[in-house]
Amino acid sequence: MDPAVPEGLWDILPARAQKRRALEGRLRTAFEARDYGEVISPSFEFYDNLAVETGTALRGEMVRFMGTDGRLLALRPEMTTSIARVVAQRLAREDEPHRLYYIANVFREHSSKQGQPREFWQAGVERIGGGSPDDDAEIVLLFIETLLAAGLKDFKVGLGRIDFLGRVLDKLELGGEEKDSLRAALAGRNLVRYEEIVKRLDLDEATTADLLLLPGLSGGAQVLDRAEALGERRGGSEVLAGLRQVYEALAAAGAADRVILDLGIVRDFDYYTGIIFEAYTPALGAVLGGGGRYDNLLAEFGYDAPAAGFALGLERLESALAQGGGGR
Amino acid sequence: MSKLKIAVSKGSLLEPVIRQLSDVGFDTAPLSDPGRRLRLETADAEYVICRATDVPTFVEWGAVDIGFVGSDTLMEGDYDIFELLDLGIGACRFVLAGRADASGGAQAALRENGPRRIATKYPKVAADYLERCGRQAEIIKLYGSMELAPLVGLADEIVDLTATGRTLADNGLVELDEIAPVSCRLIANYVSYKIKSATINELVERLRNND
Repeated sequence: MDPAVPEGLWDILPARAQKRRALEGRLRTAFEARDYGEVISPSFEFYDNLAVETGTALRGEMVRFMGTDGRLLALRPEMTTSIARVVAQRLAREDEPHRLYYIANVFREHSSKQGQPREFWQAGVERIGGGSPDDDAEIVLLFIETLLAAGLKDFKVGLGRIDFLGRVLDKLELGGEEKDSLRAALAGRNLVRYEEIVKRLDLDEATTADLLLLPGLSGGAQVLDRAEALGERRGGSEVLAGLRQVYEALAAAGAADRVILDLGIVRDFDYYTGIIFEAYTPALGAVLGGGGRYDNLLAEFGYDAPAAGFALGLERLESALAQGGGGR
Repeated sequence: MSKLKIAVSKGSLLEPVIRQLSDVGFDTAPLSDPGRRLRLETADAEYVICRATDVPTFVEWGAVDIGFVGSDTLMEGDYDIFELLDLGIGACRFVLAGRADASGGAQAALRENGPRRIATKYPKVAADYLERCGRQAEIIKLYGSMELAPLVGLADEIVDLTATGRTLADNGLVELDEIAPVSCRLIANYVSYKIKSATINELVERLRNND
């Protein structure tokens, strides 16, 4: 027999496995210190459950196969949807909030992306119940604590709102197709195309100028002032008021210097409804992980509750630590 | 703040990109005569000089913060990077071209909907174009001298870049359709753009205002 594994799968040998388990231990300690309890859920589930609201990108990347009863099954491509299913099915009678964490392998049919081949590992939390700005701040603070516990020193957290762009676009008299093309250009990080589309729309000068400001709304607290001025003209003020409350709670906790406010963040999942955030380190060219608020996902499983959470990629954390992200 | 790391492509874009950087105040003197060196450090930046098709890869993986590359390379690949600015330099076009002496006239090929053979160095650009206009074709990947393919019967048409159309005309080919305009873009690594947004955005504005 030819010893071989399918493309995009790795064996982890003792030296590295030992480091991996040590890293997992540090993350576990950080989660449990904040009263999060571990959930171990099945590696595969019914495709229909995993495909709910998860966003088309991941739907196309799931490893699928047929069960003996002919139902379509899939390996989990991420953990948030599985945890939502677990809470709705098993924990509905218990008091909220549910504070849950996982350290688990996930599976995606994609070409390897910076330490994420077809099978890779994620550590994360989900907090089901509680939708206030303070609850948002709690999750972001735990995100920062977790990165510190991992051993990372040099990192920043980008924080934005998934719904700000939508509020601004909704107020403009644009067709659905035009809005979609603007959104697609931003999601594709193509600011050249975004600018071309904005200019082609032939709007009045002030509106064009405001739309061109949107992708550059990133930086410290003063970004909120700029965004709020724009929000008053274009809509989305209540979204920004919520973001300001979260930011102030983070600042009060001494975390302001970790945070980059950024209204241009678009994450690859359709289920987000409020704040979104992600972690960057100069030691790695890709995000370490991220998260956000997803208030509509649980209702898909018949249990209506606000929720927020995050996931970190273990391989990416390891590679950032190895590159000196742990400080010199 | 550490120095900006910049990838520039060898070849025809190198000189105009250096000129733009120099115009907006970068120290580019060591770049004008790099010799065999592939890495150069100046007072204000670190440079990597590589093949055009490798520029987006260096940027995507964060080996450099930003890069200058033709949009032809970006169209042919699938990179998770920020595309920040169209510099307007290195302008040319992707075209579909065929033999000027094709039976029934060159344009007959476009009206005929049977499967054709198209030779190109850019199979993804060709496939996207064919998909968009509903045509069917076998795509033959070549690494150079695409003009040869229709002349020796390897392919019916080619998808290639042209600036002036002279190479096409010299080989008895005519442009049948324009696929897309192409020019040099400033691209950035996702994380670099998030962490160094002030520095990078300032460069974007300086380059935008430099005519």
